[in-house]
Amino acid sequence: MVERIKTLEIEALAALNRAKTLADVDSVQVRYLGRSGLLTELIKNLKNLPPEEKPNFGKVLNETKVKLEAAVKEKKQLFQERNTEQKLKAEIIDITLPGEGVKRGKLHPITSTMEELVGIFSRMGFSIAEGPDIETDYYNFEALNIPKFHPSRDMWSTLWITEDTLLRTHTSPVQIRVMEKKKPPLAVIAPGRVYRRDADVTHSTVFHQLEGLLVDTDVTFGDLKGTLTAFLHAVFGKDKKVRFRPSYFPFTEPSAEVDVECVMCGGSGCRVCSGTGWLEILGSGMVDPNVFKHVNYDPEKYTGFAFGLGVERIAMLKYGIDDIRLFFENDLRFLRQF
Amino acid sequence: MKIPFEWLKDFVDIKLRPEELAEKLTLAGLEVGAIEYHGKDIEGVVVGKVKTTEKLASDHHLICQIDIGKKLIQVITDDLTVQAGDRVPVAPEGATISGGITVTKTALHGVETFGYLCKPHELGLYQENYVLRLPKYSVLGDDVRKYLGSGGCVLDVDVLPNRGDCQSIIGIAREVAAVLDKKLKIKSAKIKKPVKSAAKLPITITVKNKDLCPRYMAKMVTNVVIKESPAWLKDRLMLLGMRPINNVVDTTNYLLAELGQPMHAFDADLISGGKIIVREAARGETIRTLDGVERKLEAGMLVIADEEHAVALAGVMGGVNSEVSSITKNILLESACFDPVSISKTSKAAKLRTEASVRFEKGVDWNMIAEALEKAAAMIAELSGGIILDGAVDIKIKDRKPKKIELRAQRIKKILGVDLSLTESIKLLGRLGFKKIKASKERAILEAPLYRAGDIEREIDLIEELARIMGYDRIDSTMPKIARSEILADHAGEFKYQAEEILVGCGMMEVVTFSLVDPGMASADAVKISNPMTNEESVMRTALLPGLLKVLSHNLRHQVDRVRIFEIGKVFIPKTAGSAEEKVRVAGILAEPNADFLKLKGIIESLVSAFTSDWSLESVSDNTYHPGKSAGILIGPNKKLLGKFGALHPEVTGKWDIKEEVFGFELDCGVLIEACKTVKRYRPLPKFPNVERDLAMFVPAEVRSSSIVEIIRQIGGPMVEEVYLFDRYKDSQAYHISFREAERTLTDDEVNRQFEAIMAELEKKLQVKIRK
Ligand SMILES: [Zn+2]
Repeated sequence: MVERIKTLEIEALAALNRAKTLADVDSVQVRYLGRSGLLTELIKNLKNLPPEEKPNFGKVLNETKVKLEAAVKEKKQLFQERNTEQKLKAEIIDITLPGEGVKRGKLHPITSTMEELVGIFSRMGFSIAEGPDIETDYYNFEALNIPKFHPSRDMWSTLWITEDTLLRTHTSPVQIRVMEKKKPPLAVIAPGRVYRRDADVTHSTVFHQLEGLLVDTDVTFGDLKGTLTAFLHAVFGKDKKVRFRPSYFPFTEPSAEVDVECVMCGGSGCRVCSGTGWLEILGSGMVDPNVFKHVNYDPEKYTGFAFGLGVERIAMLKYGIDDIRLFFENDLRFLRQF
Repeated sequence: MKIPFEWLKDFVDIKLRPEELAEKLTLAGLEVGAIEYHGKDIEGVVVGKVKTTEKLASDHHLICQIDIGKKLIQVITDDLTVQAGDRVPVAPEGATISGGITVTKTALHGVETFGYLCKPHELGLYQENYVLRLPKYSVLGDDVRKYLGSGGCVLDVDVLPNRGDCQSIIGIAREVAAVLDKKLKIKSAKIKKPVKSAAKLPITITVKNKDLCPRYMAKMVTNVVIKESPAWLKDRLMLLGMRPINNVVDTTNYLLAELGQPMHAFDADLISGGKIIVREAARGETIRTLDGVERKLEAGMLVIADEEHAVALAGVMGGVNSEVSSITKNILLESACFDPVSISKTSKAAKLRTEASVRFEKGVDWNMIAEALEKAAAMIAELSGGIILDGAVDIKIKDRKPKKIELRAQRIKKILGVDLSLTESIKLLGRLGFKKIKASKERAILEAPLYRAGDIEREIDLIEELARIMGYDRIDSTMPKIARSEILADHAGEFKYQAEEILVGCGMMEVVTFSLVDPGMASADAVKISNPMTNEESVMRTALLPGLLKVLSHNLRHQVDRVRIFEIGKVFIPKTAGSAEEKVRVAGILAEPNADFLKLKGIIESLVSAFTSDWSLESVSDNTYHPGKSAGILIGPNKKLLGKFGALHPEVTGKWDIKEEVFGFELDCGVLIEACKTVKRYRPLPKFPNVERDLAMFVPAEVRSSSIVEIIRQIGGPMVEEVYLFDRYKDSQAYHISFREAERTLTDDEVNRQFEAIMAELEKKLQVKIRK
């Protein structure tokens, strides 16, 4: 009897060994371990044996059953794994084919630069204000302390519409428009298009500026320095040196030109910085008391600072663009690079 | 403003190198744009003496034999005025002239030239088309730089528009002295005591318009001999890029540069009637100015005239009729001050900016008018052997007095944010020439020097000077606390970000085009620029699409043929003459091989439905668009026109030579922004299940999809929750219908009844053929 069991076991294991597919394993399982399999039949027959033989046969039968079941399970797993593997292999695709659906477009580099700059000031707490492109002489010049025939008017080559209306030469008129409507404290930035009668590789008749204005009871030149240094560090990196040097704008006093260490040469001097190691980025200054008088702010009580910068210039430095006209030509081979 | 470094040293002791000084000046507000070393790039150019000259066949050139010391060389020149005996700068083969150009041996008409005769600008001097002549004492074979004032260092200083007082060597010297905390040396350059005569001025002077000419001074130097200026004088003028002319003109030019006071020398014998009258120009009056141009004068222009006619355009340029020439014997020197606004107007009207007009426009130093005149007379007398007549004329309104200005310690702190004692402040300002009149702990009265009358008037001006002289780097950076009375809403900004994001997501590239366009790209009544740069940029755009078509045409010409672009920007809708309503629009173009109306409509749907769901389409008649492939978009309960989209009319694209069909849109952002301000309301989610049915049919060409949807909704009634076209191929269309009741579960029977009714009605009304 024990021999029979052993023979059965050897036969079964040999059959499993010969199995080539999952179906072969299934039929071995049915033949030996199925409902009326050879081993199952022996187990069923156990109850007919004499009581003294039962324990011994029972033990051997059970051992064989466990062994065969384990062998079947192992073999099945092997074939299943192999099947999955083959299936996956058959399904390999070319991952280098292009993705389907619409290719995303891109923002114009002037827009993305402007949005970056606006974002920095927004996070500092500045609100956004806007004004018209077609301005009056009053807002563009007079209210900004630039009277008619003043020699400083030569600082802006103006495109005129009538004797009294013009295309704004800077975003500074927005300062006046905001202050006319609101009382201090205020913190605003004004992004927008400006116009000059001037065109070459670094000048365009139409270009973009970002203006800023902060007015409160105790705003100082030190605050101007702190704010603009933080801004320049956010744009160009914290490791860049920043310097403030005296300048002149009719609507601010004291006025400062703000330079950042040249991003191209790191300050050793190159073509971009004309060998100085510095890049002129911002015009700024403390709001001139005469400007406050134009909007009925008390210059004894309130102080403030204002600043302005050219967006194209920043974008040119950021991307190493050497001709401003590329921005407005809108060649898609250019725009796709950003 | 060119400032020769050595010249500056006449007035201040400078121990720094030019580069170090430049850095200090830049940080004090006098930006040094460049430091030039004169003649730096000139190498090997020597003094030569012309032995013989001979015409070359062409007649436009001379063959010269030139002695350059140890040898004779043959050189061809195009300056036909070169004569035997002239001393000239010769650049032999291998020498380098201005701009780093190396001279090589060449031949002309078969005649060899072994060098080159230099013109002034080719040696880094002034522009002129004749070969430079060197002085008689120059030694043959010597490096020419010895005789050109070369090797000198020149600082190019950008003087700020408010600093009229810095438009001179002495002005810059004052700043240098202040920055370096040194004393200014006032010494007159190299002038011996001149000969004087007690004789009276034989010319009478009248100033008719004292508003425009607050001070007019004149002096005479007689018995002058007009000749070449000495080398030191010529050298210095050449360093400034000025052409030496003669001892008299060179003197006024020299002192203009050094002292900043423009002066004019008349040939006194050419002043008719012995009278100088300062008056406004008469109508129709003309003058030929020293540049040889005959100019028509306008009322309001100030002239210096004699009894008969204008002899100078006051403060701008002298006239040919009284010009100093080689035969001049007696000189009348003018030193005056003119109204800045009047000079500015005259100079603009005459389109003539001169060294003199630039200085008068910014105002000259009241005291310097007299001082410069004294110096000029003395210098001319010495250089020309003339005699100064004692009598001088000085016609002026009352003398200008220095301004007294209050400075408060508290105000310094409030503006600059630094703690600076008043004593320290007064000391710092003293370096810039401000005098203390009186002072307490809290406030002081200071007197500004007269040469700063043009820009120092108020306390804030003093504070600026204080910040400047102590250095901006001494002011600590602080962060302000930012408080605001209110947060300004930014609907337009938010809209722009969102619209950009959607369109970029639809595969569109953003472009930025000029708002100044060609008149052909805008409506006929567009706002016009009165002084445009070019016709192409002469009116304000009235629509965005023309600019986008220009971009498209550029790209097509460069073989970029899949173009999806958009722009968000202002257009300027004309109102009354010269004014416009500024509207923000969004426009786009689709031009690619498979573009069609529905692709564009998909983009429009993505964009508009991001802001509102309440919109519909209508047919439009607009000659920008194809009449059968375009639509207008209506927004909100009032059906406000948002804009239009569709295929562009072939005539519109034809203007840009575009043959392909182009799809475009242009929408008014203002209308969309208004629309998205409507408050959105929540609807509860359905409690009962829906029943879905698909409906396929063949549709005759003239039947619109919207009619089918309309009938489905009308017949299906309120239980039709949703209908949409889900498939389309040729004339076959398939619609998906969802039926639902809010308060109960629908039975199959009732849905089937409605569905049958819908099918029957569609076949009857629209002659569609249902596919069963
Ligand atoms: Zn650099």
